[in-house]
Amino acid sequence: MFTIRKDDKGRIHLKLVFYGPSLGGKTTALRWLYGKVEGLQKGEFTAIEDETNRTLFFDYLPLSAGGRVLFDVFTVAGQKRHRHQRKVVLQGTDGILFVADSSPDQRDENTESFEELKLFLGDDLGRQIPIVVMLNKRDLPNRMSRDEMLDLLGLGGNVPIYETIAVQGVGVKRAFQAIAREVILKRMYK
Amino acid sequence: MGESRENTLEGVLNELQGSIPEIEACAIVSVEGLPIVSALPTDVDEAKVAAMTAAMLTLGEKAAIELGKGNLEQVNIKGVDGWLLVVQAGMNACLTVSTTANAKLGLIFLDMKRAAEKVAGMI
Repeated sequence: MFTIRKDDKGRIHLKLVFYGPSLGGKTTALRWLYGKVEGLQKGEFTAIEDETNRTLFFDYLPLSAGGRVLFDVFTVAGQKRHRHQRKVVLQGTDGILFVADSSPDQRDENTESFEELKLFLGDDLGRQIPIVVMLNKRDLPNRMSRDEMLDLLGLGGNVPIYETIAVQGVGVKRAFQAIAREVILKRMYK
Repeated sequence: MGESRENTLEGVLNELQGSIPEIEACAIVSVEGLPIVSALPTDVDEAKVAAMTAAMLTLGEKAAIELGKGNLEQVNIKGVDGWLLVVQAGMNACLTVSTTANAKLGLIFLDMKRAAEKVAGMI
């Protein structure tokens, strides 16, 4: 079912998608990887957004950790009305970075987004398609506790969890490296 | 003038392996789990070493974070016939070493630390 995609230069392409509720920090995290991280070869950042910089369809950034593997990294538009676009962006994904929002007023949005993701990917999520969860906005004074958020999303011990502050880049690179590693292990070394 | 031997990644591995006979194999692997450079016996597959390193990192990182030990620094595995050691080499790579069972770990860790610092400056 999952096949390795190669381009005309023989490079292996793996698709990673940042998923999560609206304004949770998906685009911010990807822009931080694009702008601040050394040690990754980056292509052009492509964003399809409205005049207020809200993602309309997706952001796209090709990243390479060297060698013959290229990560095509996408974010989805988080707003509820873009549900169909999210389903399209998820097609052929090899790994998911779920960006949860630590604001208490985003409880329902986190749950709805995660349930939608489970609906779209079904049993493949966490099995054939690895997932890493970023608990973002950990700098908020009224943030939800880690345990509260894991309960909210129904996450047990099998999913790697990273506490992040995307605007400062805290934890973002480690979370990205974790999903990249999980995907490489799943797709290339199986 | 070309780069002196110790200033290349291969040079760092060769120096490490040459200085301690108990080191049987060593490799530099990206934190994503991709092989960068290795000094391995001919019967050892580089991709397999990279995959094992990635798996060790994944589990080690998870255990360290979940049990409140902070970011991962190293993973050590002891088998009947020797040790597998992985240390972080900067933010982008790690150094994996395989040793015999009778290796002096203190000495090896010291040399691995030096080698990792060199690697961190190169990648």
